[in-house]
Amino acid sequence: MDWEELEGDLPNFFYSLFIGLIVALFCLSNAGQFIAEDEMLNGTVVPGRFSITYEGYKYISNDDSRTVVGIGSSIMQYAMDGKCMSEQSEVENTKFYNFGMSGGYPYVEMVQIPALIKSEPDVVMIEIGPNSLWGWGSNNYSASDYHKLRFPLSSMQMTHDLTGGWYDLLEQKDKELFLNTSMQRNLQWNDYTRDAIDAKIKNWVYDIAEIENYNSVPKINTKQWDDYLQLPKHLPSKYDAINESQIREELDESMPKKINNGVYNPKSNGTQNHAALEYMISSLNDAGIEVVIVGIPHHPWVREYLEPGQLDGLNETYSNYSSTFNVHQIQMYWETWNSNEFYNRNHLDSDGRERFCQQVTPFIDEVLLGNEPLYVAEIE
Amino acid sequence: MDFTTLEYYSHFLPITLLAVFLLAYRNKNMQVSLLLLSSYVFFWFASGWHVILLLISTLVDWNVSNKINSTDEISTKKRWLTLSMVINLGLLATFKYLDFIIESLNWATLKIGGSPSIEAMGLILPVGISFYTFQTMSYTIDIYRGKYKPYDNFISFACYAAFFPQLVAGPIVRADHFKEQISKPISLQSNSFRFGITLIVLGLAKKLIIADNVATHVDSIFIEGEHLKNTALIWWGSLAFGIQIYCDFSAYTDIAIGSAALFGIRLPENFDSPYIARSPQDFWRRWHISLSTWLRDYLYIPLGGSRNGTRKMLIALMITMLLGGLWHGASWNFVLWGFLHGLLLIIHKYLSKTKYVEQLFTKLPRVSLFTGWLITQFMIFFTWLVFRVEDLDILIPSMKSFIGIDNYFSPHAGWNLLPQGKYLTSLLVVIFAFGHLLSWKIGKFKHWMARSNPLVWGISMGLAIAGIIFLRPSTTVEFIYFRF
Repeated sequence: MDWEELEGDLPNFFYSLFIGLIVALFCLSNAGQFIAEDEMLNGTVVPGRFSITYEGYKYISNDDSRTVVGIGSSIMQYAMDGKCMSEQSEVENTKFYNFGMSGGYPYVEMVQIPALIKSEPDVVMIEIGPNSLWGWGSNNYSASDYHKLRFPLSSMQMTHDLTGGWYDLLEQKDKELFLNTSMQRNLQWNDYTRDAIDAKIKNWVYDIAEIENYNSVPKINTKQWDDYLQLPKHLPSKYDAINESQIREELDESMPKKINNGVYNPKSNGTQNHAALEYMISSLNDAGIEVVIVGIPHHPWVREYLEPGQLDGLNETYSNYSSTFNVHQIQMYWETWNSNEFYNRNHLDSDGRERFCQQVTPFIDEVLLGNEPLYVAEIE
Repeated sequence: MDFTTLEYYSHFLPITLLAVFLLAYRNKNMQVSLLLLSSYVFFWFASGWHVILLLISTLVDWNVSNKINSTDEISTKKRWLTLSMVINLGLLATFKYLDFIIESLNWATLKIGGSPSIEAMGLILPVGISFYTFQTMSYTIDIYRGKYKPYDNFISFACYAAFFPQLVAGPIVRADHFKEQISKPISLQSNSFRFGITLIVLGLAKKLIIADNVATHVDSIFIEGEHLKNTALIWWGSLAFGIQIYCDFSAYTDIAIGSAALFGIRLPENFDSPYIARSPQDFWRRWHISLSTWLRDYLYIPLGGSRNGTRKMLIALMITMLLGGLWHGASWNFVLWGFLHGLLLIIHKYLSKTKYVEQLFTKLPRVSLFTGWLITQFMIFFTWLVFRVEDLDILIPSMKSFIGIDNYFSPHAGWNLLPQGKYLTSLLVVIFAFGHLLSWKIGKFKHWMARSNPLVWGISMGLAIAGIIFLRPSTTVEFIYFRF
């Protein structure tokens, strides 16, 4: 074809260029979220619960009941049965929501605090365990893959009013993962459109409304979504499938490698995670929200692999925060729970969640009623 | 910098366009000089100090062609032509094939019980060397043949040799065609601009949406493993690679033609729906047209072509295809690929002359054409296996599996092995196949798009750009033909 065959003059050409530019800009700045949002929220594009936080808090803010929110890592995610606690609670019209996130730690979870405050919970339970109190040197710091996953996701769903003092606590390289304008946030959705379209085609081919697996999340604002926010999905207990000597074998193999890691050498203060916790607690205090810091037990045999005093940083942190901030504390870490209450060395299974529910709910009820309960640990 | 990088569209192209149309408004010589300068800048960003090799090739052929043109003595002309070929092919042989020759010699030494003593040089392949050496050689050969007079000045010739849209991966342009394009001042024309933008956008869509998505399947299939025995998976891998290489290479060509069109310069088409070819000969009239015509004009015909009897014709054909295969890369699999295509062409030439086949085409034309298409494409996609896979441990089981030896057939097992994004990629393959097969009926989509009314064109271009962003995979694959 020869372009001499084409009709047209310069004004028409510039007109069509202008149309093309407008269409491209409109699609790129709006269509991405429209295409990818459902698959983002249902765990298809980004496996698991990582995308639910902001939608979850929006949902809670519309909930007329009194709300208790648990935040932390997968340890909180596996420990807290919000449905059980909602049923157990003797305070009327109270619901318990579980926002524990796999791999989470205070430095990452702190960015959600403004959104959490906006949802107006009555009580926030913050998991603080040995895994929450490690830090890193700032020289030659590089953002981890986990930060590269969580921070852009949070940033995309954050509106301007949900930024906060946490930003100043971030390393410079982590700040770069956050998007500053709504245009940038809109464009970020485009990184997920390909996988979202692929998922839509798959659903169309198989005619399924939802992909049911461990990583999938129910459609938002449904009954299943409400249930999911209270009780996340859990994998079947690994330790229930093996006997005690096999558990011992597994710990003999894994614990020597882990005891020198930061998660088993908690500091008493001064780490980036401490700074994050202090921001979280003080922000919640300032907003008039009751804060409960929660220590969740590990498998009873784990402590046999640790040196005496190795976890002193945990105790010192609890002691500092109790005297510095307006917090309640439930320190169950030093309790000896049964082996059959554990999914693995540091997560509870359904039996453990039942016990957690029984032990913690009455304490939270007291907090909801405005009392100052004292938790007495069951130390053997 | 290449055609898929933002810098090309945000900096390089706009600056070059502004320079040519505004700074050098209606001044032909200055325009050609600016195009030459920008072409060298482009090459510098693509290949760094290897730009010197481009300059050497250009200077050699400029001087040699002038020497050839200035004498009437055939023997003198021949000596100068030989010099040009020795230097150009020497550059190509050194930078592209030297390490291949050394490694092959070392391998042969090992096989006969000796110990290899020559170390490979580790030379980096200069970008585009296979293209620009062939292009400048064709100029010298044409001058030798008296086809046309040399360029008036070095700048114009150097611009032809280095013109940035086609420098790195073609199409290989004939000198007289280009000379005509730059014989008058370049002015901004809305129709050529629109045509150019259409080709660039659709080229980017073909590359970033189809080729790069399909590449994820290809890369996941052609690795070592028992899955290579699954014929269904190997067929899918071959099909996917055939689509990848076509969309990748034709996209480059479209962007090259489109970029040139912005300057009002026409470059030749390099593809004509190759997967509707009904014979191997038909395929080579549709695939990498500029290379196949170059090989025909400068290798096959000088070797005798079809003028010296059937036996010599077949030899000329096989030599041409072997060298054509080797041109693609310094590896024995490319030689094998060329050999297979030579074999297909020879078999086709032989079969098409038999009475049986002639009668079949007379009595059952449609069935014969369809069968011809099916067999041709089956063989073409078989040869793509050889082109794609250099590792013999992967190639041999793949080839066996493709033709049903030591294999099993399990589409389901194959499907489960494909990487994330397989539903979208498969849909793209279906859309591509549908569109490509229909192209013989409805003509090229890109031309239809270029002809559409301004509103439709604008909306389509906008949607195409958005589609590229939404559907491209997270990593962009380098253009395949950059390796050649």
